[in-house]
Amino acid sequence: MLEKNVLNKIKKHTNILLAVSITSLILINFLPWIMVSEQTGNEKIFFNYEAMTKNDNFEIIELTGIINNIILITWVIIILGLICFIGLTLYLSKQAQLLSLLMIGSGSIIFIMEIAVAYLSFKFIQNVAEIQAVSLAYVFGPFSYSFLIFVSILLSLLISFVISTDIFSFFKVYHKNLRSKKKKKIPFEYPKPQSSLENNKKMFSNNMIRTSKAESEDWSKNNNQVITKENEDIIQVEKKEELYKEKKNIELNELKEKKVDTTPGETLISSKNGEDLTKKEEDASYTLEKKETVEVDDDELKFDHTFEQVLFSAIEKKKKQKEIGKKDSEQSFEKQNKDVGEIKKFKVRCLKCKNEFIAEIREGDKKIKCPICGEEGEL
Amino acid sequence: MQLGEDENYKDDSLGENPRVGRIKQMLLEENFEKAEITRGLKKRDKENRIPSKKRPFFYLGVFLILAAIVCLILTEQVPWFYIKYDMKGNENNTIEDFYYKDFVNKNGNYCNQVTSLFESVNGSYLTGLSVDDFILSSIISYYSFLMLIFLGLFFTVFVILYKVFKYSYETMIMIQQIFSTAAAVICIFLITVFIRFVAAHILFYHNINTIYQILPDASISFPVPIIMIIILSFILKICFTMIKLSYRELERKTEHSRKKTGFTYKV
Repeated sequence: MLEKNVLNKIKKHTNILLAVSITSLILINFLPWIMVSEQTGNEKIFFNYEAMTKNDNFEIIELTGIINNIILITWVIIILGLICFIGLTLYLSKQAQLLSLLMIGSGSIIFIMEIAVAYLSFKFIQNVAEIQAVSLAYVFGPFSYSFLIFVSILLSLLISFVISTDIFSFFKVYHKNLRSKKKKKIPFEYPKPQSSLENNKKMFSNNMIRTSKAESEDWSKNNNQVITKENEDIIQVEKKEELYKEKKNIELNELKEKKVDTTPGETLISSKNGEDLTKKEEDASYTLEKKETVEVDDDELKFDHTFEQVLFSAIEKKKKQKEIGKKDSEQSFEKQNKDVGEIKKFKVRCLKCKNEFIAEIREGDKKIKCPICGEEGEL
Repeated sequence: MQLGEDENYKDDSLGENPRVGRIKQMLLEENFEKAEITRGLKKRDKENRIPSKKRPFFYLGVFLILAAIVCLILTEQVPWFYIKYDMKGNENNTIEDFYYKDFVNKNGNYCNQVTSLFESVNGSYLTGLSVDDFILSSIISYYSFLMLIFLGLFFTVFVILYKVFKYSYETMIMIQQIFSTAAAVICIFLITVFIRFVAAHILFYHNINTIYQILPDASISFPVPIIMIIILSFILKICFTMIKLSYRELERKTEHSRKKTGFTYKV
C-alpha cells in the first residue's frame, strides 16, 4: 500500500510538473524577452524569441543561444515527464517491470535538467544586465516578463525536487518489498492447475466412487443373505458328520463285543487271525470313511452349486446396478455441466506472489486460490 | 422436550442483550446474502458488480482523425492573417486584406506594403515574424496534422484488433496511453508553432509606435493560429485526460482486486 501511495504522489507531482513546464515553454515563445533602446531616439523595440533569432546583432545572438538551450531542455523535461507517467502506468499493469522501473527512474533526471534550466535563465538575466542598451522587457515598472518565466522555472525546479525524492522513496520501498519477497520464497512446488475437462473427469470419478460405495452396501446386504444360507448348510453338514461318527462308534463297539465273546482257543486263532481282524477293522473304518467322504463330497457339491447360483445372481445384480449407475452418473454429469454453465478461463495474477496462472471459473462460484502462495480471492 | 429437539441446544438470544441479538441477526443476514451470491442463487447488485470490460475512451483514434481533418480544412479555408491599415498620405483610404495559407491573398499575390511589416527594419523584425514563417508554419502544421491522422488510424486499427483477438485489456490501456502521449507531444509542438503568431500580435502592440511609421493605423489579427491554438488545447486536454484515465483505470482495477478479491485479472 505504501508503494501505491508513493506512486500516486509521483503521478500527482508529475502532472503538475508537466503543466508548469508546458506553460513555461509557451511563455518562452510567447512573451517578449528583451527591450533594446535605439541610439537615434528614445524609442524602444521589444524582442521576443522569434525576433531575437532573426536579429543580426552578435550579443543578441548569444542571448538567443541561451534561450535555445532553455527551450531544448524544457522539451526534454516534458518528454521525460511523459515517459515517467507511462512508466507509472506500465508498473501498475505489471508488464515489463524492469522497463517500467527505468521509465520511473528517468523522472529523477528531471531535477538535474531543471537545475540546468534555472542556471541558464539566471545566466540570461545576468548577460542582459551586462549588455548596454539592452534590458529585460517590461511594461509596467520594474516587473519584467523574463522574471515571470524565471519564476515558472523555479517552480518547476521545486516540483522536480519533490518528484526525485518521491522516486527515491519509491525505489526504497520497492527494494524492501523485493527483499521480503525473497525471504518469503517457498522452497517446494505446488501442482499445476488442471484443465476444466480433467476437473470434470475427477468429479465424474468421485461420483463413480460414491455409486460404487452404494453398490457395496447393496452387495453386503446380498452377502448377508448368502452367508445365512451358507451357515444353514454348514449346520446340516455338521449334523451329518455327528451322525456318521455315532454310527462308527456303534460299529466299533459291536466289533469289540464280538472280541470279548470269543473263546481262548479262538483267542489263539484270533491271535493268529489278529492281523486279519485288524485288517477287517481297518477295512470297515475305511469303507465308513469312504462312505462319509462320498456323502460329504455330495453335500459339498450341493453347497457349491447353491453358492455359485447365489454368486451368479449377485454378479448379475451388480452388473445391472453398474450399468444403471453409469447411466445415472453420465446423466448427472451432463446435468451438472448444464447447471453450472460454461467454464470460463481467466488469466489471473496473484497480488501476493505475482504469479500468473489460468483460473477456471463457473458462473456461480467465482472463488480462486493461488496455486503457489494459497491466497484466496474472488473474481 | 419435544421430538426432534436437541438436548444440548441453548437459546442464548433469550437471555442476551437485545442489541447483541439484533447485531447477530444482521450478521447472519449479511452472510446469507453473501452465500446466496457465491452459490449463484442470487445475482450481484449493479454497484457491487465488477465491470470487466470497461473501455475508458477507445474512440480516441476516431476523435484524433476528425480533429486533424477539421484542422486541415480550417488551415486551408480560413485566412491566416488579417490586416487593416491606412494608405500613406490618404487617411480616408483604409485597406482591409485577408491572407491565407503561404501568405497569399484572394487574388493570389501579396501586397508589398504589408510585407514590409514582416521584414527587418535596421536589422530587427518588429513583429518577430517573416513571410517565410507563414510558409514554413503551414507546411509544418500540414505534416503534423497528417501525423495526427495516422496516429488516429493506427490506434483505430489496434482497437479493431483488440475486438477481434481480445488480447490483454492492460496492454490495450498501455497502447492507448502511448498513443495519447504521442498525440499530446504533437499538439504541444503545434501549439508552440502557432503561438508565435499570437506572440507577434503582442509584439505588434509593444512596437506599435515604430510600426505606425511604416503602416499608419494598422491593426492585425491571426484568425487561424488563434482557432488552432484553441482546438489544439482541447485535443491536448483530452490527450492528458486519456493518460490520466489509463492510469486510474489500472489503479482502480488493482485497488479493487486488492481490497475485495486479492487478485488482478485479465480478460
